[in-house]
Amino acid sequence: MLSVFICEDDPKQRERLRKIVTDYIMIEALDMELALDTGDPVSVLDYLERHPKTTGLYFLDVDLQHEMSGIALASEIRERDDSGKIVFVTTHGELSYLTFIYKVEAMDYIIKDRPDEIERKVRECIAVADKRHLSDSGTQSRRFKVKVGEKTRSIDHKDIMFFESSSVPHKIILHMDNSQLEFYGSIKELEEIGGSFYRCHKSYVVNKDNIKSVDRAKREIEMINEEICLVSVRALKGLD
Amino acid sequence: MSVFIVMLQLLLMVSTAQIINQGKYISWKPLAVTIAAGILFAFSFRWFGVYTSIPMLLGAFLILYMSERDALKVLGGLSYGTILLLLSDALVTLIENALWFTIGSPAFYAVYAVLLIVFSLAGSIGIRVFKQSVERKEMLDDRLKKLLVYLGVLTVVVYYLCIYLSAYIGETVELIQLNLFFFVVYLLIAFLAFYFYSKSLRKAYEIKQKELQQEAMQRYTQELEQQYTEIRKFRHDHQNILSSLDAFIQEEDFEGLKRYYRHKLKRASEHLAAENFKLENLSRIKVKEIKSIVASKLIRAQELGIDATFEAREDIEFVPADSVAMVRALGILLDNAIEELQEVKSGSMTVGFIRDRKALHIIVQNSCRPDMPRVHKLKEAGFSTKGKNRGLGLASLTELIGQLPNVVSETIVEDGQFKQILVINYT
Repeated sequence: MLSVFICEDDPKQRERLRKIVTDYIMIEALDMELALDTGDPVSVLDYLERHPKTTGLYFLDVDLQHEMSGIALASEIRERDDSGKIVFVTTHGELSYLTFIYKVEAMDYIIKDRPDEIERKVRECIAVADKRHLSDSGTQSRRFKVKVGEKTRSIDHKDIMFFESSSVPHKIILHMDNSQLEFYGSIKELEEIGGSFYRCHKSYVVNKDNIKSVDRAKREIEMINEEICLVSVRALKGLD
Repeated sequence: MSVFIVMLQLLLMVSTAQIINQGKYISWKPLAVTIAAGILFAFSFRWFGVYTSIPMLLGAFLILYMSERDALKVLGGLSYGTILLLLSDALVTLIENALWFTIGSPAFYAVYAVLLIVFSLAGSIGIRVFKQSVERKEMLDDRLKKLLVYLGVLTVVVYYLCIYLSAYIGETVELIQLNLFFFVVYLLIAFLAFYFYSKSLRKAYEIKQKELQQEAMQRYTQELEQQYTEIRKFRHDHQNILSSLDAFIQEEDFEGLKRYYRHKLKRASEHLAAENFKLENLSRIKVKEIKSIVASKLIRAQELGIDATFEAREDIEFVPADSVAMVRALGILLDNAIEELQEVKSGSMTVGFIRDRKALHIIVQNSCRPDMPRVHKLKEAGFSTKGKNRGLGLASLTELIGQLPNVVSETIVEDGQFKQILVINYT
């Protein structure tokens, strides 16, 4: 079950959010409950301390009139509730889109200055969170974890094309469908992921599930995103 | 015996050049070609004597050019490799002479071969390390690189002329000594001149950068002043609004109050929210160089009618990477974003500086055309969305960032957005 939290310092706005949330849960008969509505960020964290298994949907005001801002609160929540869904409620002036997305992986944000849109947005967020929560608990796919700054990124194995060692020592490039991510590591330790991952060259570890074709003469592997990965003569055997 | 020496020299020429250029490992094919060519030249040594070096140099150039395809780079590596080889050759000969080896004896050749290999390989590794450290520190610009290559080529030519001259007169140990002495002096003078020249160039470059920075700050200040005027205007309005509200309430005219709120107040607040304050967070960047590059590019973007926003929630007190490299990298990134937005004619860009306990994340995000090439295509060397030899592609950015050990990058294309993230780790 998904627990909904509202943290907003203005009582009027909090009341309004609370009403929208409880009404929507009731009308749609969703498997959710309003766990807490408060103006004090610390009480949200207290709740999570007491109920460590919570998966939540959090509506957080950015400017809480408290030494802890909504964004700091979100970071703390992330550490306790890894798969929680965070939605910021903010004024246009306080909007920090990139921070929301990158720092705390917020699901969405709602702009207060447009009162007529708040209700629609809140409902939309609840619906999306509900759907994601169901699909999260459904599939337990294998994931590759990588540190970027203080954040740990978790990437589904099936999204990975291959790993390539960069020309700079200790840097590895992770190739995905339409993105590339650099991180610190060594090809040798990546070889040990196992599963569909195969060391096909001294500087490549390929995901065999995402191979489109192998050109034996040129010693190249074409991936399903049309990217090319090299393969050594010795490793060709392992690709049969 | 001399056959072997000529072959060895050709091999060393190719390999020192390769080491200096940080090239790939030599694969079997060019190696076989080198050995074959070496044997060929070695036999022609009987007829051509010292002049064999001319076809040797040409051969080495062609072999290297086949794998590298960058004439200037090959020329640079080859010339400095050759200088090294010639210096070691003279040095080894002198050392052996001092140790009373008879010139031409098998022992002489054996020691000669070993010492030549050791000297030239060690020297080329030294040059490579030196080159890397220079590149990391101050980044030679293309003009200086070219000059350095010409200097190398000229030096080789001069030295070979000396050798041919001494061969013509008749080679004696004294002559070799003299040759070596003159050559070393020549080299020293040449490099000293080059050093001072590059220093003055650098100074000129720095002054130009400072000027640009100054200009950017000037524009930033103007922008700030304009915003300040805007705020003052609002403060004035604010007073008026309050007194109007007061009037409505005193007269208990709530219909009038409603109308006033809907028509006047709401619009004013929308106007206040929408425009003009998208770059206010720039003041959170405390690093002058970084602030000025971001400010100048974003202000330019806004002048071009692009919806550009900057965000930072925390003060950025310092950027833990070489500021020259960071300014260049940001310049490329922001120019790319602006160019792309001019191409698509709509859309927006957002730049964010986000700090956490371990790193500073710099994000540049912009709308892009729907048929944007795939990320791995964009990263290919020499690839540009604007046709050949135009714009600085992602490849050169990757190269620039690659020099900085504590910076990693991420490139994403999704949902019509191009995102480039630089993660600068505090070390």
